[in-house]
Amino acid sequence: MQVNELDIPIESKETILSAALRNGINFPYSCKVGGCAVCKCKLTNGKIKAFSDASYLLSAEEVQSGYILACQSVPKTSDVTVEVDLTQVLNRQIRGKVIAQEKLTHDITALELSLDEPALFKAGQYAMLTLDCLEGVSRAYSFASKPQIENSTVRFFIRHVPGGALSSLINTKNVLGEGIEIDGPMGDFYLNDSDKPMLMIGGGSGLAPIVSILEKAKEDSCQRPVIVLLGARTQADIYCLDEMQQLALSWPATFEFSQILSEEPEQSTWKGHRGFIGDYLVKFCNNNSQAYLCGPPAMIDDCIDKLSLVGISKSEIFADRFFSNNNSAD
Amino acid sequence: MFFHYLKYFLFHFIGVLALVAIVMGGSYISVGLLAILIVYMLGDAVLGADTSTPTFNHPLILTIQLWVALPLVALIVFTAIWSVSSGDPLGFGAYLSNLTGYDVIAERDSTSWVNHLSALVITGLMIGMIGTITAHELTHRTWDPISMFVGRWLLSFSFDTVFSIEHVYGHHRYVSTVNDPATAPRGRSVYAHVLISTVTGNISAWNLEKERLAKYGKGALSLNNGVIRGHLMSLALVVVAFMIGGLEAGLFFIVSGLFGKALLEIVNYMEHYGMVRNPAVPVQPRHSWNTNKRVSSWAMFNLTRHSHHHADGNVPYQDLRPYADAPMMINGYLTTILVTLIPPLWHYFMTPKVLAWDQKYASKEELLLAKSANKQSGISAFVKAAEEPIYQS
Repeated sequence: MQVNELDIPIESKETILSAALRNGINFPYSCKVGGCAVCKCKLTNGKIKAFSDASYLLSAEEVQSGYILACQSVPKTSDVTVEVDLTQVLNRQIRGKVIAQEKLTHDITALELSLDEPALFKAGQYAMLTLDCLEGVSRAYSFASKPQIENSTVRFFIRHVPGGALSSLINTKNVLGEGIEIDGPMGDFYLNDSDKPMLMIGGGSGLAPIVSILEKAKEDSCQRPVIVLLGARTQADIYCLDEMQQLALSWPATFEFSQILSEEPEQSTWKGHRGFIGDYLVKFCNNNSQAYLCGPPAMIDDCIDKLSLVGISKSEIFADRFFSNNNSAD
Repeated sequence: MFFHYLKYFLFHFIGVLALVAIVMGGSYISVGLLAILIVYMLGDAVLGADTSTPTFNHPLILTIQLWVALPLVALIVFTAIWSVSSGDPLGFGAYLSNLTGYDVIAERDSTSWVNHLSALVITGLMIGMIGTITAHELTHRTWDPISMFVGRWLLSFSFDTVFSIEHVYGHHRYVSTVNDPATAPRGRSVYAHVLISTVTGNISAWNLEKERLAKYGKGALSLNNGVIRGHLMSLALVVVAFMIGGLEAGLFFIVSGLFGKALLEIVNYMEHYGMVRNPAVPVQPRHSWNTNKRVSSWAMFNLTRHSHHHADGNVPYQDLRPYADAPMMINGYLTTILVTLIPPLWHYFMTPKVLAWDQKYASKEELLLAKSANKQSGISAFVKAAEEPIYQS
């Protein structure tokens, strides 16, 4: 099925609206029972089955020129294409408030927000965050939760950037109950269709989009083998252990989560890998892997070089570089 | 898994209980009424919540089980009409007496007016709880002609076929805004709501049909109008009731049908009382009062999971999710219905709940709407709260 010339997968018996929202399209909608016509769109090709009589809402001209209600329409043929006016809803700003603030490590805080309406995004994308108490300051953060159509709770991982206005506030002060606005979704970092094993590399708070992608992939019954590598300085910087373990337990293929520490004291109890992620890539992947990298630009660039040496082509490498606003890299 | 199918037969069980009580006559009727109240209220009080959402591989069973509500309600109403008739319509009493050896006609004829009143209450309750609630689920299935047919006939027992139009195309669009007839604003009593919502709901359905027909170049005054057709269905039932049992039976049916309609409006009242919504934002789970009480959820097949129902109205009831974080109603449905009937008690429970809703769930725009709703409520706690800092921005 196509929405505004964009191909999207649709499940059997799924409505056009549901498929569009599931695929991160900011399709306009409101009531979802065929009562408001906010989701009206023009059927330009193919046939649909309508759940309800759209003539309660659409004008005679609209019905005759092919307008349908996306929430009430299930494609009958595979060649369905619709056109919808997305100008009203592109980059939707959504208000919400902070409902949980949890320290993951000494310098990463997980922020859970309850939004006024569900945020539509593709797992892996990011949004601009603005706290009410810090007006004028907005920063980009990746969603650290999977997109949910019916639930408006989202999560972000905020890493403390020394001198950073927003990240300092969130990591050092109580912002529970604080109003917030998110603007998004943005970015083109998300899971690409393939059967290849997934190599996910995160540095710093870079596990955020990885968690989002993996949670979503699990929901979609992804069968691909997964290796997640976290690059950190010391044991104190490791987080998401429990979540990764939970994912691993029910993952239908192999699932491995390893940490590589660059500044762990030599005499410490750490029995895992030491050094830089780039140095371990030969061990963790082969030329058949598809790689996803997010975190500090220096780490990403080093890893991409090493991945090329393993024989992974550029077209199978996807990266999201985390830039901070005051140039303190990492 | 068998049990999960079975639990949604609770309303059939209650219906049969009601039927038996009315047939046996005398004080059995009042005992039956009491038993029904106890099952619901005590059940919800002690049995806690059911938040399970199993996968049903045979949803057709659940759909047919809903369709069965129509013959069940028809039989209950017929029996109730028979119970106030002077003769023995269709030889129903003679047939049962022969079958059981229990003289149902003699029992009926010696039934006191108090017990007849209990029969009226039971019939009204069954029209509401087996008729309207089932019809609600069925008339949401606008794509299924059988469900729509069964649903509209179920609604005709409570003179409310317009519900199948207004609810889907009006209420779901405007829920928790001032444009929705079925959403009760802060401070309104349930008695006012039953009247106001009935009148404005009918007007809304009429206008929806009129506008729809105008698009085909047709006038509103015709049999194409679903409102007119629907009220004729109800009228036909009234005529049948008069024909079966005469004046008393006809009046009995009218009163029990109106009782059923009132019950629906009471349920509307408690499902959205005091809530506000920014019309620009899609309906969210926070815009309905939810409950997951076990007996209510089984007997009313998850109408109780109202938050998800409004956020996604095309989801069949067995797939509705409990949303344990959604705003919660006072208690199970029947208990809450009884609380609404005592307005001071209702406001005692609900005023703090609605104010807490503002604190916890309302968006910035909704707080402004809430502020004016508080001021207009006529309830001092609301009016006073309107001055609190969260409403000022």
